Amino acid sequence: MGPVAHLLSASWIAIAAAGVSPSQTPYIAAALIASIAIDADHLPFLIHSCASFDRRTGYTGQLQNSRSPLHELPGLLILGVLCALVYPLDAMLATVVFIAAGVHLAQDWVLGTSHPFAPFDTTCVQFFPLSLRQKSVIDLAVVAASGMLWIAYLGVPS
Amino acid sequence: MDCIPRRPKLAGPYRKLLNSLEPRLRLPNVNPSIYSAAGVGLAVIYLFAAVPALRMALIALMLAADWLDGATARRYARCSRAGYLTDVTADRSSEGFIFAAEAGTPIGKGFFVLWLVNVALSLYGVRSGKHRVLPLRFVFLVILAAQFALDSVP
Repeated sequence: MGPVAHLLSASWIAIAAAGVSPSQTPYIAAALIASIAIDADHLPFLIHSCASFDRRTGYTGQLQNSRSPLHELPGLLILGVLCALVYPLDAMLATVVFIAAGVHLAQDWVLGTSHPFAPFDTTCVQFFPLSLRQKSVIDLAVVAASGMLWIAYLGVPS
Repeated sequence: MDCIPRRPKLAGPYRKLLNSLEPRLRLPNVNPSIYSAAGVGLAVIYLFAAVPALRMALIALMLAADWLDGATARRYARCSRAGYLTDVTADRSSEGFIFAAEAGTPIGKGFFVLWLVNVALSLYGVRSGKHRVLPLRFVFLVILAAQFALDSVP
């Protein structure tokens, strides 16, 4: 799933589930950052693999190789521990960050190719063998649906 | 069925019961991951469920999806290590969302900590070849049902 789809969908699920009101901007900012921050581990690969960039498909089909263990179940475990430690200090922040980042990971696992048990087991896991076209349609649908939900949430007339 | 971790003997009676029901099921020959993905989707819906009866129904559906996933794989000889890992990944994800939604209650807090243990156990299980997990969703469903029954008593 693309970064825009992650950003819009995971952050909206997090703020809606945690009951964040539109005036609580720090929590909205935290949800937006948490929904996309995990993708930072792709950056070294993207910088070092410029040659493998395809004009039509971009890096599609290669990004599972750029995932660090933080993008897999060990990452979810670390995220859970950190949020459990933050929870007594700021329950809403911990909830928003955990859900936003957790939804991002779940979206990647369900819709892409991953190694969820890396570094303990590097078996490639794919829930569904989706083509680039199918992935693009899903991406567009998620962006459109979550964009509308964001507009409704912020109360901006469409 | 390449290198799927063994299940503990403790789960024997429960597995026996499910295995006796399995032949009676009419299962379509579909990708078993559909059920795993449905389980994750139901867990995301759970984040928004406020009514106790709906929450119980969602957990029951997640458990059913988890069972159907394995039953379909066994029926149509689709068991594989990748399939096992898919199932465990979906289970830990759905548990994470359930207990994040319940973190506001004392029981929910305890279950969230147990979920962290469960993720660590899953990683250990894959590494050691021994399937060791806590049946957290099942136990939580029993607790929710007991609470619901107690609250219903006038």
